[in-house]
Amino acid sequence: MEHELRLRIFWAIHLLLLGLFGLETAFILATVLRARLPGLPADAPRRRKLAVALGRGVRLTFRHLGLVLRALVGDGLLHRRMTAHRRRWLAHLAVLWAWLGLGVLSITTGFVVEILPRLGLTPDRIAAVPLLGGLLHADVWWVALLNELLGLIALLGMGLILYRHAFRRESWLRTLPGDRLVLALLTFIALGGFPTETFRLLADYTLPGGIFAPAPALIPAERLPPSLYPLWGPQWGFIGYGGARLLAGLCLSAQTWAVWHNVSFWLHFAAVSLLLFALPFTRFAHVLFAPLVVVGNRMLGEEAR
Amino acid sequence: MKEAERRVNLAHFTLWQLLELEACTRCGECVETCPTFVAAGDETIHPLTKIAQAKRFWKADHLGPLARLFGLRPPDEEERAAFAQGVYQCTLCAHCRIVCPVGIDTRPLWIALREQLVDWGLYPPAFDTLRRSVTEQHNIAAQDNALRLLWTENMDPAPQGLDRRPGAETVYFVGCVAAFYPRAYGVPRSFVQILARSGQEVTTLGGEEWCCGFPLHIAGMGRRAEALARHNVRAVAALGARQVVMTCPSCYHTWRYEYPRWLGEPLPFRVVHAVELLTELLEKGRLPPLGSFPRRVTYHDPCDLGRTGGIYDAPRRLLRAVPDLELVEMADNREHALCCGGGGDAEMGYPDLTAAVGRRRIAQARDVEAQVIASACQQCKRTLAEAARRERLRIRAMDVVEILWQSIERG
Repeated sequence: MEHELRLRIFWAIHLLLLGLFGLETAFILATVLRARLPGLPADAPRRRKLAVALGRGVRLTFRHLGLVLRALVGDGLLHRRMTAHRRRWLAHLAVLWAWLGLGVLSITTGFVVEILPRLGLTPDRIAAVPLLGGLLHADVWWVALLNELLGLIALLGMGLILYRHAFRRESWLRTLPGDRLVLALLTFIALGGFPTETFRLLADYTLPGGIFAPAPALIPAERLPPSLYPLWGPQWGFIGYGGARLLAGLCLSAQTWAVWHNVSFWLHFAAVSLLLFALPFTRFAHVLFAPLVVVGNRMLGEEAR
Repeated sequence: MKEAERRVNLAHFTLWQLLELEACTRCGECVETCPTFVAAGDETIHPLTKIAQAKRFWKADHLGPLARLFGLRPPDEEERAAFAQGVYQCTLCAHCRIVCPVGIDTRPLWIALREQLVDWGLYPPAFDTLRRSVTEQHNIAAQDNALRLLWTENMDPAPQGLDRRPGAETVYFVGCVAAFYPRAYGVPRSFVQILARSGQEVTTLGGEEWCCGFPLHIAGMGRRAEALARHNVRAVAALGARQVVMTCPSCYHTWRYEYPRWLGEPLPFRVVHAVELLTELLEKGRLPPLGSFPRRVTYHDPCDLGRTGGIYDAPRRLLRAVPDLELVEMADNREHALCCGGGGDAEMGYPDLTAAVGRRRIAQARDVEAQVIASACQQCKRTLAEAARRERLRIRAMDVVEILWQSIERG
C-alpha cells in the first residue's frame, strides 16, 4: 500500500515536473525562433520559421538517411573524433552508454510495471512475456546485475571526468562554475543509486526484530509473482546487496529502512529533476544538441558539395 | 544606448547558429589550435570563451528571470569590451571548425558576433575608415578607383584589352590588395601574362571593379557589402564573360559562396580561383612550356582557399609541374595549416598580435629548410614576407602564379 502511494506521488510530481520542463523548453524555443532562418525575412512569424525549419530538416534527413545513420553511430554513439584523447573518450563512452542503458531500462521498466497492468494483464501474464517479464521486479537476477553494472560504469565514467577536471587537467580544459554544478549533480545521481537500492533491499527483506533475511516470498505476489521466483537473485546487485548485508548489522526495523529509502529515493529524484531543469543553461545541453548539430552540419556540407 | 539596443539582437544569428552554440561541449579542442590565442595567451580570444560568452549574453538578455535563476546575468561594459576585443582579434582562419568534434561552423558565427558588436559600437576605430573607404571610394586603400590598373604600367608588353573588353571569355577580378599595393603587383602581372601566353581572352573591370565586400562582411558590416556585390555582378555580366577568376582567395570566397547568398540567386557565370583555372590549362596542355625553378619550396594554404574553399590539390599540382622545383610540406598543412595572421581584418586593430601569428608560420617554413614559401594569396604573401623579414630569415614569399610565370619565362 505504501509502495502504491509512493508510486502515485512519484508520478504526480514527475508529470508536473515534466510539464514544467516542457514549458521551459517551449519558452526557450520560442525565443530561439527570433533568430534568422535563411530564405525567410528576419521578422517572419515564428510559427512559420518553425514549420519551414522542420520541413527542411525532414527533407534533408530523408535525402541523406545513410549519412545521418553513419553520423549518429560514428559521432553520436562512438565519439570517433575523440579517440585521440583516450581518457576523455573512455569517460564519454562510459557516461553516455551507462546513462543511455539506465534510461532505456528505466523507461521499459516503467512500461512493464505501470502500463501493462493497466492494459489488463495480470502479474503472472506479464511475468510470462519473454525478456520484458523479468523487468517486473528489480530483484530478478539479470535486472539486478544490469542495473548494478550500468550504475558502476556511470560512476567510473564520472570518476574519470572528475579526475581530469581536478587532478590531471589537460591544458585546453576549462571548467566554469556551471560545469561544477553539472558534474556534482551527475556524480550525486550516479552515486545515489546504490544507497537507494541498499535501503530498498533492507526495507523489503527485513523481518520483525530487524533481521535481514531476503526471500522472494516477502515480496507481495502482485509485484513478484511466484513464476519469477526461479529468477529471483538480489545478490546479483552486488554493491547494493553488499551494502544491505553490511547495514543489516544495525538491526533497524523495516519501517525505519523504508524511511531511509524514501529520503534516498526522493533526493535521487530531486537531483535528476534539477539536472533536467538546469540542462539548457549548462554545458550538459550538448547531450541533446551535439548529435543534432553533428548530423545537421554533415548534411549541410553534403548539400553544399 | 537605449536598453533595447543593448540587448543581443537575435536577428544577427541564424536559428542553426543558436543551436550550434548549445552544441558546444567546451571540450577545448579549439583552444590550442587558435593561432591568436597561442600567440597572445589571452583567454578572451579562443573559441571556447567566445561561445560560452555569446551563449550567456543572449540568454541573459532574452530569457530574463529563468536565466538569472541559473546564474546568467547580462554583461557589464567591461565584459562587453573584453568580449569585443576577443572577437576582433580572431583572424577567422576557421581552424577551430576543422578540429571541433561537433563540426560547429565557427567562422560565420564569429562574423555574426561581429555584426552584434557593430550594433553596440564596439569595434576597432580603424574599421570606420575601412567602411568609409569601401563605401565611398569602392576600395580598401582609399584611392581613386580609376587607378585600379596602375599595376599594368611598365609591363613589357602589357596584354591588350585588359580594361573592360566586351566579349572576353574570362574576367579577372584583381582585388584591392593586388591593385593598390605595389608589393603585390607581381601577382596580377604574372597572372595576366600567363593567361595571355596560354591564349586566353582575359579582361578586367578596370575602374568599374569595386571592392568585393569581403572586408566589410568579415568586419560585421556586411549589410553595406550587398550593393558592392550587385554592382560587380552586373559589371561582369555586362561584358558577357563566361567566367570570373580571382588570384585573391578572399575575393574568390566572397564571389563563390557569399554573393549567391546575398543576392538570393545563383550567379550567371562561373567563379574560379586562379590556381583552378591554371590547373585546368595545365591538364589540357595549354600552358606554355615551363622552365627550371631550382628551389626548395613549401606551400602555405590560405584559409579562404583551403579550409573554407576546399582547394588544396590544385596549387600543389601546379608547383609539382615546375621542373627542378622541390616541394616540401610544413608540419601543419592542408586543412590543418597554421594561419599566417593576415586574415579577419585583425591586422587593422592588432598588428603586433598578427605579426606573432605570422612568425609561427614562417618558423615552420624554416624548419623544412624552404627557400621559398609559396601561397595563392597576396595577403598571405605580404604577411609571410613581413614575418621572414622580421625574423631575418632568407625565405622568399611568392605567389604560385609568380613562380609559374618565372618558370614560363625560363621555359
